[in-house]
Amino acid sequence: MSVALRGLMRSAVRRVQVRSFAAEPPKEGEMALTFAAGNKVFYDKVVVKQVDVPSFSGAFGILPKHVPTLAVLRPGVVTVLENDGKQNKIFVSSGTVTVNDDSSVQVLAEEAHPLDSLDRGAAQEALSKAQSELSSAANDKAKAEAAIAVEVAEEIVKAAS
Amino acid sequence: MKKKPDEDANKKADASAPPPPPEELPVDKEEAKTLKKIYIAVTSDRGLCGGVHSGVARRIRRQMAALPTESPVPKIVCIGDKSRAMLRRQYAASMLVSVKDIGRIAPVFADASTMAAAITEAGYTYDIGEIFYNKFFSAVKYELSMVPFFNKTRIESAPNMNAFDDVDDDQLECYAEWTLAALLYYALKESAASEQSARMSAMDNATKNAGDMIRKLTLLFNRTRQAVITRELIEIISGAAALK
Repeated sequence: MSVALRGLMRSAVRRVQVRSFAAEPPKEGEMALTFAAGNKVFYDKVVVKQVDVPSFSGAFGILPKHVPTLAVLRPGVVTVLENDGKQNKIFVSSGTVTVNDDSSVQVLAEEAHPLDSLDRGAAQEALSKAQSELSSAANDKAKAEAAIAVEVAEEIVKAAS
Repeated sequence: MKKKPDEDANKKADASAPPPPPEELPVDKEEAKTLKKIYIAVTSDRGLCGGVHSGVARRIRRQMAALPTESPVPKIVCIGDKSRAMLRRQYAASMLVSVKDIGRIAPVFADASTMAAAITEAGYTYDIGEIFYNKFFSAVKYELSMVPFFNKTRIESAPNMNAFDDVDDDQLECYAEWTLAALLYYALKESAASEQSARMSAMDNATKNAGDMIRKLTLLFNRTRQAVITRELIEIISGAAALK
């Protein structure tokens, strides 16, 4: 009885494991996305259809065979269109995006969270705190830091609504 | 970040094997002599974990010794007190930044960005930096690895850069700085994992070695206890016999 149960459990565990593995290695003309942040790895060389990223040189979408480029992320929402048509929206605070000439894309963020785990109320609170810090900032460095905090909080509020 | 092909060749070497050849960076030999380098040693403040930290320090010593004489002396950044203690006597003049209070709690991204900012603010204009850290493979295996990082002008003049879309100057600088922080974070995490696993096996070995001593002392303890009991019994019995 217990042996049978154990066998059943093992096969269930194996099934779960198989499902969690990444898709097959990317083929020619496909875009392999690696998206990681300090807190979590979202995609590890997963083939996707499209990635939209907000950057300091303007928001842009990346499709397979995009021209290789480098950009610095600004706070905002990264939208990933997966191969099965599912749209995954993830908020990033800052970071870099690299498009390599083999069509692989690397998005590295300092912090990233799915949109549904953002709390609008808490973001609003953080925004007003950052704003008051900005107005009371004494030197240039503190001012710049507060300005960044305001920008991030504004974007979170925008994204969470 | 692409993995370097010659990293695999390096993997086979362990501590007892002859030293692996220093990794070649993709620059030609003549140019390599005039490059200004930064070596970053990723260790921590805490010991009792086998050869994790001394491996990093030894590697940097070897790199420093292998340099051609005419090239500029590289600067050293020590992360963690251990590498600083091991390197500061020999290379006091090369010390650029040292970071302490590493290893008590798990590293977070803010630590890495503080370090990256400190390195940037130290004002040394480097061409190439090399981060030496222990890469974690499993609970019993870690390996000394290196990741390179480059400054902005170096990235601009990279041969593959033509293939890339136009990138603004300040964006590229931002990118280079951020990449340094991200690489440091990666190295810190890997190094923390290898350190903890090395500490686990070091402590396990210590326990095993202590087993022998524990056995000997237990025997001594039991004998002494028995001796005390016997003596007390003799005293009681002889006392009883004297009263008869």
